[in-house]
Amino acid sequence: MFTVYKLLRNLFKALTSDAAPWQIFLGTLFGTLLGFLPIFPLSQGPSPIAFGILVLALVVNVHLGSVFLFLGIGKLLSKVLHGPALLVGDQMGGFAQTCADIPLLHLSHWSHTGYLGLTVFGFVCAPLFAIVMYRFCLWFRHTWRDRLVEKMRLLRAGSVIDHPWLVRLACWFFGIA
Amino acid sequence: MTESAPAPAPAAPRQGLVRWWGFGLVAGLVVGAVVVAPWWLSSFLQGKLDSALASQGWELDPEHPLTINVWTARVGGEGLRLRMIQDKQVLMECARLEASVAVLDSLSSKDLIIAELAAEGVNGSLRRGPDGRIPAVPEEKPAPGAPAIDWKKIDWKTHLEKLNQKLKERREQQQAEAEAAKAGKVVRPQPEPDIDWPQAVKHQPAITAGRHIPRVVVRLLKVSGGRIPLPDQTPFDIANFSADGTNVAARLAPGETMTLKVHVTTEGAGPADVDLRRTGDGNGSLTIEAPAVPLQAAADPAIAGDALTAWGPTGTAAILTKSTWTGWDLQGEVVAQVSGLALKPTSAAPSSAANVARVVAALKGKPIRWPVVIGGTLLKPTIVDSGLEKVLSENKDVLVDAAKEEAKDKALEKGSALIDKELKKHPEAEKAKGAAKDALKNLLGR
Repeated sequence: MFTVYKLLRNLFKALTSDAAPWQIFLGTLFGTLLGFLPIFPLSQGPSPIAFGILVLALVVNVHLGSVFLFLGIGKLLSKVLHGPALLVGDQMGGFAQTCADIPLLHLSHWSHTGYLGLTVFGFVCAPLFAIVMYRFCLWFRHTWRDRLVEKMRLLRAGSVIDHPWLVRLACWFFGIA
Repeated sequence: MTESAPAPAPAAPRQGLVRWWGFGLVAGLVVGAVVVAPWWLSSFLQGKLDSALASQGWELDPEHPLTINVWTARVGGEGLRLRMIQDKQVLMECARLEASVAVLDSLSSKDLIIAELAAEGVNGSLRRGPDGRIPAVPEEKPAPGAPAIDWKKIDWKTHLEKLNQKLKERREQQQAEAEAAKAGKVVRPQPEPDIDWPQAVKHQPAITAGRHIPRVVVRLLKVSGGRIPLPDQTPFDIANFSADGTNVAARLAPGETMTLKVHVTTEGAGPADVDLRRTGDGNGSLTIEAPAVPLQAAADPAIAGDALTAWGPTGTAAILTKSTWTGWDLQGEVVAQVSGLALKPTSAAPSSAANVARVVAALKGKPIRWPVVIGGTLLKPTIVDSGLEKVLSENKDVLVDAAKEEAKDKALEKGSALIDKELKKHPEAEKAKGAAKDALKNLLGR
């Protein structure tokens, strides 16, 4: 539960932070990919592609909160999706064989039917999550954040507003000062 | 009255494409990984070793652990004890083990090159337990429908044949793959299962002509140890042994030469020496010498089954096996020189045993040299010449004399029986019985 709570706090902090929407977009994209792609399976060794994405996420000025948030979500989802990932990977046996002949992809475990399935999920989910986060961020900032900030300002000025405790709770939760 | 100018809007945070401190973070992470990796790798390798042993039902005594030092690329330990997890029965002990990895050589050759592997004070036991099982031999699950293995009646010949067949099939498959790759065909090895994700498989790169298959090479091997009882109590139990080798590997690179010399002293069957030499171009030689094997030891039921025990052989055999091979073609000779041979057949021996014993006795312990020429291939050696003709020609005189004696005995026996039969018909000639038999004996030279 605490993990879920922390994940949600990170999500809303991302929305209310000063980060530009494109930073959140890229952060979500990289984070989701890192969540689904194998980074360092102990029995297989490190994946160069995953490490490359990690370096990109650190060097490119993306929103790191989104990276770690979606990395966590991706890892949780990939645990749940082991079975379907294997089904997808088995269906893509030919592609896995082709990957085995390309050293970079073979080292990145794309020739492993299970990890290939998860990688496919990652490449499907990453742009999807990134676009959703981008749109949601814009919508939240233009509608909800401004309203909350205004109500908090009124509350601090001593005005009487409806459900003050709800506003305080929402501001605390979203990290709005 | 002047109007004050509106306060300037707060500057938007600068959001460049590159996070410069990210480079520092990456560099820091790399340095951290390099620093932490050896410790992590040590514990990782330790874990892998423990799980590999546990999969066989074994463990290392935690009081004397094997230390893996990644910094110095060394593995070592003292007083190591390999034991069964279940009942803590000690399988093997090693007073000192030291191994060092040649890191640069390994990296440049893409092989695991162990510069030196030394083990001292190795001893243990392979003696069968009450159920007949041999410790340290992993339990093999029988195939569905197949009968369970009866360890007390284990058929070593069948097991060796199976092993031989497997090696042959593997070798043939490798040859076929190499030829297909040379012909430009795409040959793929079987996908490998993943131990952490058993349902998944990892496809392997297609086999290409001249691809490098990693191997393990021990540049310098020195192992010595004490008593190792074999599965059945026989005079062949090992009293002490030593093995010295260079470039010890299953597969050799072109230009490499492997040498391995093993000296074994048995409890009651004398010493034995093995000298193996192989070259990277597929040639090799093997010499096995056991200069003083007591025939009583060789006739032990646990060694020779029921075949020899009933004959009660005594004497000493000096056995020398020399073989050389070029590619897969084998040439060699097994020479057994038996001295002081005598047979004392028991009642369980075949009816002809007494006669054979008599013939052997006629040899009066004279050394018999029996050379057997072997040939065929490494995986399927065959006897080219059994050497019986040589044995017979070298001992012709003695054997002819022995055969004559045997014929005389038969003649005497039959003649006596005939005299008895005839005298029964003529009781009046009973007094001449003794004289007739004496005459017969004189005739036969007895």
